[in-house]
Amino acid sequence: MPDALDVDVVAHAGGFALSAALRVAAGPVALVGPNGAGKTTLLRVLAGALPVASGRVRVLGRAFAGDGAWLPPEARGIGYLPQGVGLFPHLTAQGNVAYGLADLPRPEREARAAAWLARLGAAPLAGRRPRGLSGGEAQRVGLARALAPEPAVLLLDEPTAALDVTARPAIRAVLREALRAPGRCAVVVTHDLRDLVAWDPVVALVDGGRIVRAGPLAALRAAPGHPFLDELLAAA
Amino acid sequence: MSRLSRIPALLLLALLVLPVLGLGAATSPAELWAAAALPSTRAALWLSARTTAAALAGIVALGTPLAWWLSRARGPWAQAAAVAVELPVVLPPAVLGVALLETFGRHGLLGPLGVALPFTTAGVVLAQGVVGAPLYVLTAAAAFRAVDDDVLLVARTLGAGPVRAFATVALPAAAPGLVSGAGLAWARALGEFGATLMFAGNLPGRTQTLPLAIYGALERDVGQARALSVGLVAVAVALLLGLRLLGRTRA
Repeated sequence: MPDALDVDVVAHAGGFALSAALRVAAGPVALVGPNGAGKTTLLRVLAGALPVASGRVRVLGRAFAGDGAWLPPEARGIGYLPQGVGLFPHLTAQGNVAYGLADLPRPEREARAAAWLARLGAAPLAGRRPRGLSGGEAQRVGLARALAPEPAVLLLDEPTAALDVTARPAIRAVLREALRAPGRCAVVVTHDLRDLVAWDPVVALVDGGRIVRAGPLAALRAAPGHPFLDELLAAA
Repeated sequence: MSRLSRIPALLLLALLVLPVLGLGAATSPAELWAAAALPSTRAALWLSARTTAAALAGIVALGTPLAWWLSRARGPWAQAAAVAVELPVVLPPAVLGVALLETFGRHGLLGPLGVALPFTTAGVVLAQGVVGAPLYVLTAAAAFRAVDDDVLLVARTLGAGPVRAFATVALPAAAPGLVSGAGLAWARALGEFGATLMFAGNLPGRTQTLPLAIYGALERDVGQARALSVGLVAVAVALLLGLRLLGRTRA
C-alpha cells in the first residue's frame, strides 16, 4: 500500500514561506499549531490552490505536484472544507451539496445530497440559502458538501470550530467514521483536543511554516517541551 | 438627524427633483402624443434602441472578461488597466469626442488602416460603448471581487474545471452586480450626447439618437424637445426602480 501522505514541499503564499515535510503511512492526519503557522497554507497546497516552488506532494501514491507533475484541483478527488466554509451563495444548501455529484443522474444526486445533509443534522436546512444560515449551520452544510462525493482525499479546515459545544459530539462521531475510512487520506486542522482524542490521528505540529513534531497523540504527550503542544495537551 | 442638518439636505434634494418637476409641469399630454407621432421621433427612438443594444452587447461581451481579470489581478499592470477603465468616467464627453475623431477619423491614428467611423451609425455605437463600458466593468469587477477565492477553489475540488467553475459559481454569484452594471452602462449609453455629437454628428436616421433629437428639436419645436425629454426621464426612472426591485428580490 502506498503512503497516504508523502509531502516534502516548499511553497510561497504572499510573503509566507511553507517548507513542510511529512510522511504518513495510513490514517488521518491532524494539523495543529499556532495561528499563522502554515496549517491552512499546507491544506491549500494539497488542494492545488498554490503552486509548488520545489519538492513533491504525493497522496495515496498519486503525484499531485512536484517532479514535473501537476494535477489541477478538479483531478485530485478532494473534499475540501475551507476555514470560511465558502458555500456557493446562489445555491440552496441542497444545491451546494449536490454540486459535486454532477456525474449522478438527477434523482440519485438529490437523494444522496439529502442523505448527507441528514447525516450532518442539516436536513431542515435543505431549502435555505447560505445568507440566512448561522456559522454552525453553514459548517454542517459545508461538511455535507465535502463528504457527499465520497472523495479519496479529505481536507477539512477546523470542521468543528463553528459548532456549539453541544453539537460537536455528534458531528465528531460522523467525522471519525469519515476520517478513518479505509483507503482514504484525510488531513484536518483543529484546535480542539477532544477532536484529537476522538479521531486518534497522526498529529503534526506546524510552526513557522514547518512541521516540527509528528506522531500519535500518546507519543506527543510522552515528549513534552514545545510550548504550544504543552498548552494544547494541558487542556485535558 | 438634527433639525439644522435637515435644511441643506432638503435643499439639495429639491435641487435634484425640481428640474424634473419643471419639465413634467411644462409638458402637456397632447404634446407627448404629437411628438410620439412624428417620424423624426420614431427614427431617433429606433436608432437609440438599436445602437444602445449593440453597444451594450459589446460592453458585456468584452467587459465581463476584463472585469474578471481586474478582480483577480494584482501589480502595476492591473493598476494601469484600472486607471484606463476609470478614465472615460472623469473625462468631459467633448474630450472623448475629439479623442475618438483623432483615433477613428479618416485622418486619425487608424486612418491609414482604412478606418473611418465619423458620421456613421457604427461611430454612434463606438461613442456609446466607450462612455458606457467603464460603468459596467467597474461594477462587475466589484461584484467579482466579492466572490471568495475559497468558493471557487471548492468548486474546483468538486470536479469543476476553471471554465465550469467560472460559469456555474462566479457568474451566478456575481449576477446581481453584473445586471446592475449593465443597467447603468445602458442608461449612460442611452443618454450619451457630447461625444456622439462631436464624433458622429447629428444626421437624422443615421446618427441622430434621442438626446441629439432633443438638441435638434430645441431650435424648431420646444414642445417636441420637452416631450422627448419626458420620455427619457420615464425610461431612466423605470430603469432605476427596476434595478432596485431586482436587488431586493435577490437579497
